[in-house]
Amino acid sequence: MQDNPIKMTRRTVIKTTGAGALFGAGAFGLPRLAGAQADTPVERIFRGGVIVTVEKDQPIAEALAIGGGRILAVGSEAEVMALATPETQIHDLEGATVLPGFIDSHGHFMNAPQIVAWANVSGPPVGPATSIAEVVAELKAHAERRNIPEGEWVIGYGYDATILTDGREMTRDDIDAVLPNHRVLVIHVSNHGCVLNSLGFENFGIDENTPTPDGGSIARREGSNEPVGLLMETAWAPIFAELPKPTEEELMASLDEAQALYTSRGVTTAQEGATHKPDLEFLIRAGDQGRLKIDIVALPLVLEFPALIAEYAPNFQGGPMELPDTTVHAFGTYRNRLKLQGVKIPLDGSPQGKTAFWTEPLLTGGPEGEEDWVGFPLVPPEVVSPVVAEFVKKGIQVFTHANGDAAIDMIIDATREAGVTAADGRRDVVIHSQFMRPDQLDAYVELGLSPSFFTVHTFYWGDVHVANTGPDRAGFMSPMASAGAKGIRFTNHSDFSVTPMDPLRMMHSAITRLSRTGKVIGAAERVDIATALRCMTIDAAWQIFEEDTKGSIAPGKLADLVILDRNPLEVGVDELLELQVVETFKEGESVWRSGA
Amino acid sequence: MSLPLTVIGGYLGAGKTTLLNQMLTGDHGRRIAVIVNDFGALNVDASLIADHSGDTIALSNGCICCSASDGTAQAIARILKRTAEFDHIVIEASGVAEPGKVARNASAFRLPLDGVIVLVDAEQLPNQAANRYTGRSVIAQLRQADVVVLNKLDLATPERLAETRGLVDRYAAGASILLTERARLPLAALFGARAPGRTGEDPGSPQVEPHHAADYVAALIEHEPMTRAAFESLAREFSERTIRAKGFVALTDAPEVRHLYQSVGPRWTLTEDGAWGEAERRTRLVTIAVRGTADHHVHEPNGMGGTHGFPAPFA
Repeated sequence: MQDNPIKMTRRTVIKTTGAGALFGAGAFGLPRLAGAQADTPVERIFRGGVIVTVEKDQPIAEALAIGGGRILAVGSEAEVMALATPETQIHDLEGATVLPGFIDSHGHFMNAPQIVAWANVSGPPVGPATSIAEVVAELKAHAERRNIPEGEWVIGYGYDATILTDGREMTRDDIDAVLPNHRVLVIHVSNHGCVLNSLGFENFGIDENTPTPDGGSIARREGSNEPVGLLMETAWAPIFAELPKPTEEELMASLDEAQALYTSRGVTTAQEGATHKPDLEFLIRAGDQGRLKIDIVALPLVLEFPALIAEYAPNFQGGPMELPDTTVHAFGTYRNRLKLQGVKIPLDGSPQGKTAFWTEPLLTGGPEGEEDWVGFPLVPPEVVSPVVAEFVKKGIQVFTHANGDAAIDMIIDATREAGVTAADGRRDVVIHSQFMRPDQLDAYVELGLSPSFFTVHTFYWGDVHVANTGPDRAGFMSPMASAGAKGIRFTNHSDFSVTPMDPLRMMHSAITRLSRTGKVIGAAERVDIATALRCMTIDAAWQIFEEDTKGSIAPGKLADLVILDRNPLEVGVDELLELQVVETFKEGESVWRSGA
Repeated sequence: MSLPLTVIGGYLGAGKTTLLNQMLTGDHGRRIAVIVNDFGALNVDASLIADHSGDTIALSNGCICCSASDGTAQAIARILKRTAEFDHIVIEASGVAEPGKVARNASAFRLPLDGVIVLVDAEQLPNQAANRYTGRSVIAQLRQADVVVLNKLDLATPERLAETRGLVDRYAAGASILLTERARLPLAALFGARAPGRTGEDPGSPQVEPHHAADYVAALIEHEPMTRAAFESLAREFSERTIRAKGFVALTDAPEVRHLYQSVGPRWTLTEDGAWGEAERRTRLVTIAVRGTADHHVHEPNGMGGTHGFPAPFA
């Protein structure tokens, strides 16, 4: 396995323990990095603002010293400034607030290089468009910004007529008026349809002779059979299949922009939470070329393991879902800012798409009006148990996608059958854990399962969930307060690009659980700002076994930092969404700066 | 020209993979493009693989197997770029998927639906239908079937089989029902379930007329070259006892000529169909009979003209 590229070599990291930090504190009267790095030059001191450390013993500090990519000291202005040398750069915060860089505990980083090449025609707060005129204006602006030649594709995403002021669907004429010579395709917000312009229709050979397929719709011009713009469901599927795929070079070219989606929001650790083999190969290459500015935590999909093993462990003789004993060595350590952390096992779909898997039927039926609809599992339960058992046996952390309570039952059963208990300290993650039942929290405690919640759903789809599941089930979605009361450690995530990369809105949703229409979805499950912040910092670091190096501002940890213009702990909750990122640092290097 | 589409569904363990393996590797003369969820479960004999690149395995018999790792729609689109190279598309629906929806979604590609085939583990179905996680999926699969294949008959006790039959009759009323072990069925019994008007070009695909809640028994008849009189006698017998029969016939009075035999109900034809060429000169017919009207038995194939009750698949 020596040539195995997914076997990450251990980065030269000197782990600093709490005891080490205390030992080092003696010299300066404040926490100071111990051991070999005690002599690390102080490169930069942040002062003149607030340091929100997210450390229990010292939650707020006045100043912060960093060097060698790490945090060297945290304390009062006098204590920290005493460390300054002539070479030290003094960074005046001018009243701004430094926090640990945000960690998105679940999202799909590889959607980013693709999505930045598309025009965002969503409505606020995801995008700018409130009318058809603004949608087409954004399409045109996007084509100009990216110098897309005539004849090529202009692709937009997030189109949703229900939030536009026009009260009608966009047509090919609307788009032809501004982009007659490009092929244009605008993806519906549901990802289940699109609007095409005339060259787009021509490209796919869809015209007045095209029949409407079963289970789909083709909007026609009034009084004629001519497709007028919108295609949905099965009419869209063949188009989706034929969509021009970005080449690896194009994706690589978009990588800086993709990472800026994260760094501009203060996120310094992203997740690639459903990694296919080509994604992994792309990320390894990006890392080897020094192109990764933030850390990427990759979770290979369970179905990709046979292919990965065939390539990287060609001599392995085990069965189809067995793992070589050495597999674990490919996990848990960064190389060039990329690490594999665990396996991703998807068990159900999405609640808003009604494809999650519940034990009780939805009040509104299935996606096609089916009665007595509970959704469905993606895989049979008897497949899940042996797979989970194998990953447990081989020491690999399991990340399950489970939205509905029946899917959550499936991973609880499989984890229990694998003989796991909380004492094992595995920190297996149930991503989403949205529609939990109260009894399932006890099972999480017993098995040491950690939820990665998705509270921003209360905003984007909260009203839909109340309609579909009733106020009680919807009110208990992503039950942070109840989980906390049972001592469960949990995180919060974006599921990017399902929702935008927006940590402040994620925190806001955990605190308020306000829907788009201003209803509180489950008042009892609201948490305080400190908890909401831990979800995106120290607890998110803990969930991926990085609490020794990330998630709080403490000596010895990586200098992954975000500067916000105001202190989120001090502003009112309503102002939280207005806070601005001033600058983002990854291991001491500025990776994004406002106005730069 | 678009390709007829068959969707194969059925819960885990029902025999989908076994059936697909047989389809992919059988010497049936039909070029089938199969879309599977992943290759991992298939265990195609390496000697039959002509080429394996990325998402596609090409078999030496002209069939291919595509992985739907990037989506079934993408896999269909890839195959449709090479329509002329194939005769049929088969999509494997996952063990918990609804094959009717897979078929419906695929219809967007304007593929004529040949049928939804749902395999059932005759021994396990009652348990599966009662399972709290998967019962609904299993029942939905039955509801969407044009053809139900009751597989693993040898493993079910009579009592259990009766229970399974009860569920199938209840939820798949109107579907054709085929009985077998180890997923052994001739292609002829599987294709054409939904398209009574379609006449296949090759002898591998007689149609099974939909027949309310009936059992169909498919059999492969093999025979050494025989006299025309002997064949005509056999054909008359088939006319009475089978609803469909089709195949190549080897006659002693014209040893170089391959004859194509087709029989629908009482009518049958025998036409010259070119030379045998390299092919073995041997009569090979597939017959479909309604259970109880023919002498075929699942467990005890009788010896009618060299019949194998459940022959090696697609032999």
